[in-house]
Amino acid sequence: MILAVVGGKGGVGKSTVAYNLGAALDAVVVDADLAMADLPADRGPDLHDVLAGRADAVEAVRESGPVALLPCGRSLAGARACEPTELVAAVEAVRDAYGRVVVDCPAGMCGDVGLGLLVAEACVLVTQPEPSALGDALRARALARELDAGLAAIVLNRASDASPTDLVARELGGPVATVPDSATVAEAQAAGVPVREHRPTSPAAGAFADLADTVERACRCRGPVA
Amino acid sequence: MVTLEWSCERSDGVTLVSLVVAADRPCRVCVENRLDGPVWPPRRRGQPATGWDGDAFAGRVPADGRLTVGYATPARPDEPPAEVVSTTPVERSDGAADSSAPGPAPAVESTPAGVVRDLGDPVVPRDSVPLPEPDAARLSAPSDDGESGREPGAGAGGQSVDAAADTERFVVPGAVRAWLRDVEERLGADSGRPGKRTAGSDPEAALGAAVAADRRALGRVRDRVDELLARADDEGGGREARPAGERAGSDGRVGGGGRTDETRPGGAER
Repeated sequence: MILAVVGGKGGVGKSTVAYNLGAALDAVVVDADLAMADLPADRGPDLHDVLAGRADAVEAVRESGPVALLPCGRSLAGARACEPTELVAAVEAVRDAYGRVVVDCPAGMCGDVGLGLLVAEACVLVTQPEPSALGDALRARALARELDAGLAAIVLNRASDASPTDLVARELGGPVATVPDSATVAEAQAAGVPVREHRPTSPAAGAFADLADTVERACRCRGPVA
Repeated sequence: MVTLEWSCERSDGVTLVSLVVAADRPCRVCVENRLDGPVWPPRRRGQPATGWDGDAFAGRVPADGRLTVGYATPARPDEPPAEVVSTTPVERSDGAADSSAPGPAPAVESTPAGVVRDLGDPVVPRDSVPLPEPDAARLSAPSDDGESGREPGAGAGGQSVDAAADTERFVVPGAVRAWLRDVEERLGADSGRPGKRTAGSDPEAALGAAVAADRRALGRVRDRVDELLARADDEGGGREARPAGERAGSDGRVGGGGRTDETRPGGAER
C-alpha cells in the first residue's frame, strides 16, 4: 500500500499526520518535500542521494526511530542534484521491501506533489478549518483525482466542535476525520515520537488510530477494483 | 448486455459508492443513485465532473467493456446503491470522436515525466545554488569518483576539484533530462514500427508527426547548444592560453579537467 499525504497549503499538519499515520499503519514514512524537508534526519544517505542515483532507496530507510523513515536532505545543492521523476521508482522499491509506505508530500501544486500522488494508490487530504486551507485542499483533491489517487480520508486538523465538518465532507466528497487542536500533538512532534507513544490515552492519539482504521478500510475496499 | 457491480464503504457518516458498469460492446449508459440522500459527485474546479447531472451519471462504456463511477453520499448503504436506467449502443466511429473530445481527458499525463511537464519541475532553480559548494562535494564524493573518471582520494587538494565537478553535474535541469528521455522513447517506438513510411492508422501517423517535431526541436536545441558552447570555449580558451603560472587556482578548477591540473606543475594550489 502506498498512501500520499497531501494538503495544498503549507503548515496544515501534513508531516504530523504522515508521521503519526506511519506509526499507526506500521509503514515507512517517505519525506518527499525535496526543497523543504521537515521530518528529522541524521547522518547517512537521504532521499536526495537516492534521487540523484547515489544511494539505494531501501538502504536509506532509517529503522532506528519509533517510525521507519526515509528522510530528505536539506541542502539546496542536494535538492538541485535530484531527478524528481525517480521518486516513483524509489517509493515502489521501499513498498516492495516494507509493504506499506506513507509519502509526505510538500505543499503547493508542483511536480513533486504530482509524483507523490502518481505513485500512490490512495491519498489522505489534510486541511484545517480555514478558508484559505480549504481552497487549497480543493485543488489538491482535484489533482489527486487526475492522478488516480483515490481519497481515503480527509483530515480536518486542529478542529474544534464548531468546525464545519459536514461542509468539508460535502465539498471535498469524502469521509472526514478530525484531529483536535491540542498541545499534545505539538509536544510529541517536537520530541520526535508519535502521539500514541507520547500520550497513549490522549484524544489526539485516539484520533490518529481512528484515521488509520478509516484508511485501512478504504484501501481494502479499493484494492480489488484497482 | 450491461451489468452493474457495486461496493459501498461507510465511515464517519459518509458512504463511498464504487460502481463498475460492464458491457460487452461500447455503449452509453445512464446510472442513477438509489440511496436515500443527496449525491456528492466528484468535482473538477468546483463543478461536478463531466457526466454528472444531479443524481445521475451519464457516460460511455469504452471498448474494454468497463466504466468505473464513484461518488459520496451521506445516505446509509443499501442494495443496490444505484441502477442503470438507460443504455444506448454507440458506433465505433462515435468512439474515435469521443476519445479526442477534451472533456474527460486528464489534464495531467499519468507518467512521471508527464507530471513534471504539466505541473512543473520541483527542482530548486539553478541560481539558488552557489557554484563551489564544499558541502556538496563531501556529500557525494565517495560514490562519484568512479563515474567522473577522476582519481579517487586526491587528498585535500583533490577535494576542491571534486566540488567543481559535482556542481557541474547539477546543472542539467530535470525538465531537459525528462524531455530527452521522452524523445528517446518516441524514437525507439518509431524505429520499431514496421513499414513506417506507409501511412497507417491514426496513432502511427501521430507518432511519425511527433518524431518529426522532435527532429526539428533537437536541431534547434543543437544550434543553440553549439552557439553557447562556442562562447563558453572562447572564455575557457582565453584562460587556457595564458601561461600556467599566472592562473589562479580557482580558475584552474573551472577551466580545465582535474587530471590536466594535477600534471601541471604551477597549475593548482598545491
